[in-house]
Amino acid sequence: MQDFKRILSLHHEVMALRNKQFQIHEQIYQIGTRIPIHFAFGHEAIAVALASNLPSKDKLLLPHRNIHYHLALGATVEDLLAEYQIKTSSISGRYLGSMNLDFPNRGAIYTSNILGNNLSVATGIALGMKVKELKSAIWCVTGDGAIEEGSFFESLLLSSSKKLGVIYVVENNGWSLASTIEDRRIKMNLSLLAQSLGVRYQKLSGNNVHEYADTLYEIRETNLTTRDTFIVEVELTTLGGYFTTEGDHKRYINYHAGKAQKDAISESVIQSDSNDPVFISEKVHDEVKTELNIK
Amino acid sequence: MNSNFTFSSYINLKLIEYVETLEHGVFFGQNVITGSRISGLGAHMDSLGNISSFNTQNSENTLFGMGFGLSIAGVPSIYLMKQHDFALLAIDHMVNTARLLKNHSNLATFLVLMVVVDSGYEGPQSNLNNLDDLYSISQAKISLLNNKNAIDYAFKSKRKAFEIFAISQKSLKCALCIEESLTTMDGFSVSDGLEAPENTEPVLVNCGIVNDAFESCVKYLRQCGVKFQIARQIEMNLEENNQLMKKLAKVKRKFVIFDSSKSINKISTHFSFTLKEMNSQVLYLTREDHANWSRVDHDQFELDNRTVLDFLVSR
Repeated sequence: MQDFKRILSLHHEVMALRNKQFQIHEQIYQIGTRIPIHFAFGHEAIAVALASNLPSKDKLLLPHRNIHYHLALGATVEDLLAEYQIKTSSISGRYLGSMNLDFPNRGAIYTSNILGNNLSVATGIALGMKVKELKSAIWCVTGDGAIEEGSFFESLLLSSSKKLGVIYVVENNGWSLASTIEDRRIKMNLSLLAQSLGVRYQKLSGNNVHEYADTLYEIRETNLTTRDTFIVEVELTTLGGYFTTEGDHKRYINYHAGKAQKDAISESVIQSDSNDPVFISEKVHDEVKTELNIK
Repeated sequence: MNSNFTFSSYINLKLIEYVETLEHGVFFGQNVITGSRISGLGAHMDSLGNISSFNTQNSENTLFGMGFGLSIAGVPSIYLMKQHDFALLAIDHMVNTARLLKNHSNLATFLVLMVVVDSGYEGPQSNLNNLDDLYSISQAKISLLNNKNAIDYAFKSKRKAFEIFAISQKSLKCALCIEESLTTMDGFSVSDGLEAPENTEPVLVNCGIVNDAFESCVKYLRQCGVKFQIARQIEMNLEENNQLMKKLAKVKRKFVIFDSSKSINKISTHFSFTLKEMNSQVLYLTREDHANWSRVDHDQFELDNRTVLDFLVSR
């Protein structure tokens, strides 16, 4: 029963996180802001799973798309609206806008909007914890665009060589701005790259938050014992894209940042397949409820 | 006057004294605890119990990021860098990470000790030989370890979250110069009594890391019996440095500014401007042959001492 409660709670959080993003989206553009916000529709499962595995002594480093982690860590809609309007700064304690926003009291101590910048800072924080003999996991979130930077290779090499044990979470949405992976490079085999550097590799896909949470728990336990470095590649889809017509052609415009078109939001943010964590969470939620009723 | 110390042995002594004040820390860089280290810099650091010392991979960008991460984690660190050209790979961290952290609290000091390659004949690359550009983009505190007074001042100063100490490659193994008559003011080593209102002697202002042409001109002018005062820049800090210029320009006298830095973006330009704005007579001597900065040569700033003499004795 306890486990069912935990599972339900995680899936509830995914649905709530989506709603909070919608609320912010609605309000921020009514109020008007010049701060660019990178919404993370479709990224909810990994954010909730990671936040559920983040005790206060762990540290989290985030990239420019970070709204989902802040909400999952407990920031309210009002907190973020205030941060984005540079009105009050209740979660970061400083005025940082959206792309550098951090949440130190919940472990999110550094956020960078420069691709690959946070990867090496994570190695220093991990080394600092080691020097201070503090047993904590260092999580660093990045994306499939940032791993093209040399800093990704350098940081993996450093973290692995010096047993710093950083856990790199790669949100792979297949896009960098409006370029797909296929547009810009050959496909990378992160598993093989990890293997060559003595780094452990784990892939997460399917957007099932409680499965993600269980896997991250195991990774954290192993990491604290072995100080091994990890790459956790998360396959996900950034929702909110839409189609437009250009002559006779239909053209797909992916969602990157800022205001999403309302039609697009209503039509494509909620998808009826496993690309949408909310769809999965609603499905699992119903299944668990049915199971509980039967029992 | 020269001491029994070389620049590198004196800096090592000061580094050890600094590290001994720390509860814990990290000393790192490429080849810093093996072989001849970096021209002897960093000797004995690996024998200190309170810090962790290690050689690193060749990843300057990531090593800067690591230093900033250590700072956030509250662990002081020293990164010893063989040549400051390598720091160009870490411009993102020096600019973006450093600025982001400026309003963080409880940061430990991340100190980068870098060797400025000014010895010439390195090829068109490794020929940067200036700190002005790094100062401009990073806004970091940069200390120029160009004499004993400068080294003492740099290590005695209140530590900041991110600092650069720069040392000239050609000075490293030279005997350490001691100029007894110099005191420290506004980021300069200055002659005693320089600020006194009755002191109207001309001032020779030296900017940049090391300037042989300046030293040679000082000798020449002394031989010629010309009286003058000296102000050597030992810390790059535009506001503070300019304060000194403003103080000195209150007295009517001449200034000669020497700057051997290979930058079009020199901090000394501001000094010249400030002095001229206050109606001082200024002779500003810099490298002007931009097109030749990538030439493979001795990399010396050359000037005609006679020009300086004529300026100083003219009415």
